[in-house]
Amino acid sequence: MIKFQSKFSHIYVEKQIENLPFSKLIISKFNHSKIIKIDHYKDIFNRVRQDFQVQKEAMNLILARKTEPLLYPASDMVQDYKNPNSFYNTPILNCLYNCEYCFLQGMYPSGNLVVFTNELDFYNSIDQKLSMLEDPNKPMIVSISYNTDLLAMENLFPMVSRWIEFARTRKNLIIEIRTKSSFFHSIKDMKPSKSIILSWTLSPEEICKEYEIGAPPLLKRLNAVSNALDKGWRVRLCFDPILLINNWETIYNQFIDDVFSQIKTDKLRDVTIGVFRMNKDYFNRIRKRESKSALYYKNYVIEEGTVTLEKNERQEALNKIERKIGHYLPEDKILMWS
Amino acid sequence: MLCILSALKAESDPLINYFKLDKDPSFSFPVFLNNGIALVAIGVGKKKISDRINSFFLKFKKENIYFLNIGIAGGHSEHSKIGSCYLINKIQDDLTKKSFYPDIIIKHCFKEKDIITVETPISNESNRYYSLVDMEASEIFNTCKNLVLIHHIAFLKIVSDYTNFENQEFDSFYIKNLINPLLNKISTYVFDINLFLSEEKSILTDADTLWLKNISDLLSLTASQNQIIRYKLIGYRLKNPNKLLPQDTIMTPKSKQHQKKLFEKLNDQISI
Repeated sequence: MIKFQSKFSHIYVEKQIENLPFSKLIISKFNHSKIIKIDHYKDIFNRVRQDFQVQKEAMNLILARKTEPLLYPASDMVQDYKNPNSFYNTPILNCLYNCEYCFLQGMYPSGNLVVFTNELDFYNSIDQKLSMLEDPNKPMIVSISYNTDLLAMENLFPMVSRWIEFARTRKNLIIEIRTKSSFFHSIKDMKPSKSIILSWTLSPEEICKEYEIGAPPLLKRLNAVSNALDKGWRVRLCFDPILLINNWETIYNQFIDDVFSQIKTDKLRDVTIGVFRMNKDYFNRIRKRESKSALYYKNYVIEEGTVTLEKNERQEALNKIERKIGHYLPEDKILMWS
Repeated sequence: MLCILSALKAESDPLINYFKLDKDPSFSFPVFLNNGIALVAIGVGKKKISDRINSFFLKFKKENIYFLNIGIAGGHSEHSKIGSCYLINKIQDDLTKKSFYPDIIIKHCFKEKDIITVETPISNESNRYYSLVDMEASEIFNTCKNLVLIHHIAFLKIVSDYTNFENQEFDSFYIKNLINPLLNKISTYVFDINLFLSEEKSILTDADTLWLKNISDLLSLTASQNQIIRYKLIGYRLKNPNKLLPQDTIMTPKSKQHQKKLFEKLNDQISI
C-alpha cells in the first residue's frame, strides 16, 4: 500500500504574512509540520503539471495574503444570484473533502489548501460594498464558504466564529456559510445571529458514501442541522447536486422523508435544489485529467457555458423533487436552479 | 520507470552496483538500466543536464517516469552533518533567484532541507549559505518539470563537505564511502516510489487502447469523434472493469452514412 505523507506535513508561508496574528495562530496548531517560507502563494499553488488528486492524498497548507479582488459577484450557479447584492469571497481556496462532483478540481490547478490570513482586508471589502449597494433596499448576501467548507476546518482555522462576530455588528448584511460538516459544536456556544445562514448540503447516504469522499455521513449532518435549529440559527438545506443515479427516485423520496422526519420544518429558512452542473471549462479540465469518477463520462448538454443534464431530464427530476419537498414546505421556501 | 540522475561517477558507481544496472550503449553518454530503474549521468554543473535528460526522455517517454536526483552537496557546519542524507523541499537558483518546490507526496524517512544551486564551487564556508549547496538541482527541476508531473521529481542530497575544500579529503573513494551506508535507506525510498508508480496506471488497458485505435482507423474518425469515443470508453471501463468491448461495430463502413450509423451505434453501446 502506498504510504502518503500525512495531511499538512508541509506549510508554505508567505514571508509577508508570517507575523500576522492569524498566521501565527494557525502555525501554532501544526507543531509537526515543516514550515517553508515562500514569496507568493502562486509560486506553489499555480505551478504547472500538478496533480490535483494526488495532492489531495497528501494535502499541504499554504498561508497567504489575498489581494484584490476580495469580493466577487455571485455565480449564476447559485440560487441567490438574482439578488444584485449577492457576492461570494474566498477566505480559503480548496476543501478538506473531495466530492467527486466538485468544481474545485477543475477550477484550481492544485489540491493544496490556501488560507488567506489577512482577515481584516476581507471585512473592509464588505464594509466598502455595503456603503454602495446596487439595490440598498435588499440585504447584501455574501457566501464565504463557496470555494471551501469553512465549518469543517473550524478547529484548524477558526474563521466561522470570527465571521459570525463580524456579521453581528453590520446592518443589512447576511453571511451564508455552506457546509457538509458535522462540526456545529465548534460554534454551538455562540449566540445565534440573524445575519448568518448556515447552509447544509445534504445528500442520500448512498451519495454521501459514493461521491462525497471525506464528508460526514448524512446522519451526522442531520444531527448538526437539528442542533443548529434548536439553538435558534437560521438554516438552509441544500439538496444540491441531485445526482440521477440508478433508482434515484426511490432513493431521493426516502431521503426527503427521512430528512423532514428529523428536522423541524417551521424553523427552516428555505431549501435549495439543483442537479449536477458545472462550468464547461472546469468540466473539460477534470475529464482531460482522466478523473476516476464515472460522473464525467456520462451524457450531458452544454447550455450557456454550463455542462448539465438535458433540459427535459433535469426539469422532470427537479419537478419531482420539488413536489416531494412540497409535502413538507411551502413552495416559496423552495429555491431551484433549473 | 525510476530514473536516477547523478553528476559524478563516484556517486553513480555505488548505485549502479546496488541496483545491478547495465550500460545502455545506444546513448552517447552514460545511461544504465535494469528492471524499471535507470541511471543517467548528467555531469557536474548545469551544462549537460537539459540535453541528457531530454534525450533519455525521448526514448522512454511512453513510460511513466519519475526522476530522482541523488548526489552530494555542501552543507553548513552548524546546520548539517557530513554523511547525512536529506530530501529537498525547496530549491533556489543562486543566479536567477528563482525558487522551485518539489511536491513531497510519498512518506519518507529522511530529514528535509532546502538547497541553493550555484554556478561555481564554493570553496570557503560562508554564512551566505545556511542551506545545502549544489550545482545541479535547479537545472534538473527546471528541465524535468516540463516533462513529467512535478510530484515525479525528487532530490536526495548527501552532505559531503562544509564548502571548505582545503580541510576536506575529497576523492571518489571518499564519496563512495558516503553513499554506501545509505544504500538500504535509498533502496526503501526507491521501492516506495516504484509502488506509487505502479498504482498510477491509466484507466484504459492496453487492449482498450488497441480497440480504440482499430475503431479509429476503420471508421476514419475525426479528432473530435476520437475524443468522444475515448471519454465514453473511459466511463465504460470505470463502470465495467472486466467487461469485453463490443466487436460488432468494428468493420469498414460502406459509405459515409454507414460510417455515421456505426459511430452512433458504437456511441450507444459504450455509453454509461
